[in-house]
Amino acid sequence: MSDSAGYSNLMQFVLSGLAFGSIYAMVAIGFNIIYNATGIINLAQGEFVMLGGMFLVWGQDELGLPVWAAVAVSVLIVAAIGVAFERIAIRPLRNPSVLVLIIITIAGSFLFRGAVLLVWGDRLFSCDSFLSGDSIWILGAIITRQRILIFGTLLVVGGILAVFFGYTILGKAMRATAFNRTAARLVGINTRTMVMFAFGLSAAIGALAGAVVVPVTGIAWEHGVLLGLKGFAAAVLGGLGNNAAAVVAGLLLGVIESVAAGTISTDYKDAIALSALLIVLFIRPAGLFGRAELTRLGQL
Amino acid sequence: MLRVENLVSGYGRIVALKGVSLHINRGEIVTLIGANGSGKSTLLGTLAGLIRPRSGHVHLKDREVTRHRPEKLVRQGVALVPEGRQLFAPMSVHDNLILGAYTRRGDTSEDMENVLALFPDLKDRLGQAAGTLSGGQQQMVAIGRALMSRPSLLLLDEPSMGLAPRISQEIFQALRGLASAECSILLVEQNAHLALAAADRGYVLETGQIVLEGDCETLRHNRDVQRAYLGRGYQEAWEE
Ligand SMILES: Nc1ncnc2c1ncn2[C@@H]1O[C@H](COP(=O)(O)OP(=O)(O)OP(=O)(O)O)[C@@H](O)[C@H]1O
Ligand SMILES: [Mg+2]
Repeated sequence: MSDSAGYSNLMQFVLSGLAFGSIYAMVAIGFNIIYNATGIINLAQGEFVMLGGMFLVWGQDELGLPVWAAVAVSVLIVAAIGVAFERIAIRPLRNPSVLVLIIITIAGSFLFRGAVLLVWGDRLFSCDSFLSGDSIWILGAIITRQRILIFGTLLVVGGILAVFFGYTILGKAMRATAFNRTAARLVGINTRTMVMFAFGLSAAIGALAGAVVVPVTGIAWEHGVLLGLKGFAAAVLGGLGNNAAAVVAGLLLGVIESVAAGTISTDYKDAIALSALLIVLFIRPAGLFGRAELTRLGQL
Repeated sequence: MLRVENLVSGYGRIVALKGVSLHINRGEIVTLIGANGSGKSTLLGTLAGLIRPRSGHVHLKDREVTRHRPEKLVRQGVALVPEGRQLFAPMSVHDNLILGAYTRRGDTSEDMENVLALFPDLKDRLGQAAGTLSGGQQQMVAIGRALMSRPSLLLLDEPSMGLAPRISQEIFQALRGLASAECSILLVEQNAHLALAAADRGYVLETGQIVLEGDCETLRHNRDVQRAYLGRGYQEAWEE
């Protein structure tokens, strides 16, 4: 094998990995938003992703919607499910411990998975690429349009969130709630609304990730588990709560996974993300980019 | 302006306020002095809605506001500058101040200007993370943030705590200028000298009960107050 062939192979793995990395990054952002608002690690986050894919297919097949409308419908429905989940399962508790809340999110994930299995069965669903047309050559690699779209979705979501949290009063109020809940209440922020909003926003971002991934991998009732786990790995890798770091960590995870699958074996693809998670938890529990303070994770 | 009747409040089984009554007239600065653990912060926390009282009544501008949540009380004109300042530490000074105006619609740039005129030290630090400021500047941000909601009742919990005397005096000077027909002040202090010099009237709180009240002149000459809160060494330091 010549050097240039080796290079283009590597490039192929790297660029393919960016697509999955983008998904992990978006799932990680979902974890972060809820974590920042509540201190909870929402273990139902992966199910929001799965539901996003399911409702996309449902919107296209059952409602006959064009793909963009089906994405919008799916995101809205899943956001509503996220809000409802918060109102029904989280809010009514009085002074719950973080551990109790996390267990509730596990229960929620079982519930969502069971409901999907019941309604749609255990089939693998799929749909066409959102953009028609041939794959594109970039830097010696050939990438499908859907994968480019997935990466673009991450950039747009990241950009919108950066503006939202950095420049709008609602975004600032959400961050203020994360930093100091008492002070947030004292300036008149309804912190419960912020928590509800965090669940809705996380669910929406998860659903979007779940929708754009369908043309690449298809979607089935059990897909949320692994997507959630890898997103969680990215969130921890970046340092829980830090969205910019989560994007870097998610992309890194996607690329490592893809390169390892291409050069070693696809069998170990999933194990790599989980090994990375465990190694980071042991060596740098505050994440690759985090400072030593492991404040809220330490509460567990 | 504010009328508190028989307020009983606390934490779980601990009763920290055992029937407190007091009032504040429009435009007044009223101080509440008391030792550690006497219930001062509990009173302010209850007035701001953070702690729900067990019984008693709170009237603000002749409207009953007992048991309102903090979010609602801010909109009704109550702003608390809490003990320990409680800033949004990683956020900029500007964002901290802007969030103070969270309940308000419309243009708040005039209020921002007023705060910066009151505390010119903050002008050059608007972009800086609030947590990186000096203690005195953080206190200014905390007061400024409360003012951004245009309160008619400003509650301050030990604003001089941990500050150098010169800085405390600067802050108290600013407070004197703030009290007006639109804004009355309830000032909690351990530093009775500073408090009695700045206020119009005062109350003395001991283990959850008001034991003394009167205008500042009277309180300053009261022997119990002198013994308990105006130790002689302190007085000398003050007069220097
Ligand atoms: N969160 C809490 N839980 C239980 N008890 C508390 C709590 N906060 C205060 N207390 C108790 O309530 C009583 C009044 O406390 P409070 O903080 O109101 O006093 P304070 O006058 O503000 O004191 P300091 O001058 O130290 O600020 C004290 O006995 C204190 O131990
Ligand atoms: Mg106190």
